[in-house]
Amino acid sequence: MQTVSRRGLFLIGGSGAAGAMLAGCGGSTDDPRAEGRDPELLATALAAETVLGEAYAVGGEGGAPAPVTAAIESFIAASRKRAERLAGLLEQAGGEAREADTPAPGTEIEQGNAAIAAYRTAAGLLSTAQLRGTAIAFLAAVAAELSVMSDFAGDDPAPRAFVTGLPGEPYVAGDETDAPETTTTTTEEQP
Amino acid sequence: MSGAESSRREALRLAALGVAGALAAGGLVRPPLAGAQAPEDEDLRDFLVEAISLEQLTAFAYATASREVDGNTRPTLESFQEQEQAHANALRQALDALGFDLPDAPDSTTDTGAFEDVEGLEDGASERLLELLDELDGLSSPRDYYAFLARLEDEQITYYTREGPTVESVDLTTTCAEIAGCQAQHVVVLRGALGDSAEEAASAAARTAADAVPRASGGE
Repeated sequence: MQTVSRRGLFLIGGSGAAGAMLAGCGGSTDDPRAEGRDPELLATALAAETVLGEAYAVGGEGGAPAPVTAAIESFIAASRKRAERLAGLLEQAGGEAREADTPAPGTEIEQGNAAIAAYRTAAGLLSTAQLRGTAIAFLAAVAAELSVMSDFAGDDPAPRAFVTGLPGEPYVAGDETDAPETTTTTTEEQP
Repeated sequence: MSGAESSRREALRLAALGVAGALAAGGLVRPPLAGAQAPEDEDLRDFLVEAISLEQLTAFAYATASREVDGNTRPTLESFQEQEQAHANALRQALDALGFDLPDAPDSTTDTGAFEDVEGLEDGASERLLELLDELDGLSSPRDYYAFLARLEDEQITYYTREGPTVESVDLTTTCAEIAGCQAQHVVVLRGALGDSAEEAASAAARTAADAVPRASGGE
């Protein structure tokens, strides 16, 4: 069995980092989509989406320029629609919504990334193609909003080839020189 | 689970990690399943070949556009070209590890061979890609290019959102989500260049993805 590590990824070089982007929770012989995790995955996504919507609302209270205000108002509405959809799916899955944190002002980008990370995990693991497709669509929607918010903040609106919501490249690859305790698979559970 | 199935999953996982390619380059292993593909492998091949073909066409379109637009926009288009190529490289690595031939990238707007008689590329997809390549040949203004590139990005968002959830690999579906996120960000920038407001651009990308979500099937 290959060991995997962040160091190994960069040793591959060239397009290795890109190749590593296909990584996930490989290695298991069981179907991870059949483990009954829909309620947990949907509840996590709903909580993240709720916080994102609150972050937009809090951030839009400060008298921003008109284009920013218009965008934020649009994003608040879109976020609420996504949250309503998730709440319905969660109910169908037999789960319960968890209490969402109250975001601090100015954390729209941070909360956008957190929502993307939640959708990313859900996209791979939810039990049906429709649910997984919904997670992909919502990830794309939040990524688009994040692009706008980043541009408003003077940052690159599309900085990465693979939008994960994670602070660094999450992918790791084999390097047989790594100690066993550093071995890991690559799909990490997101908060 | 059969040994072949286990090996196939392991091959995908290793390819995903960039391991298989690195080992093969060193002559240590050959593609583990070459010549012994299961029907499920062909489903994955079909998914990957169309995705790679779309990515490679889009990368080529960005390269073409970057030569035709003014200097201020060029770095953005070059960055997007690199990102499209990164997607293609990742997917090519998985296809290679499964032991299938890799589709060529177009090297000119008349290079129809890149999308003709490609193993794993259905006729309808081949025809659509050829039409897009032909359309690229007729573009002239920066605005034409932005609009065309935005359409290509929409095609990809649709593909990854519609087809990504149906592949059996958790890893590949996750990657589809990540790529779709990137394409959505490209749409925002391109639509902004075309004059859309920020919220219009973002909602357009979101709508494209939402429209592509697979419907519930009776078996799920």
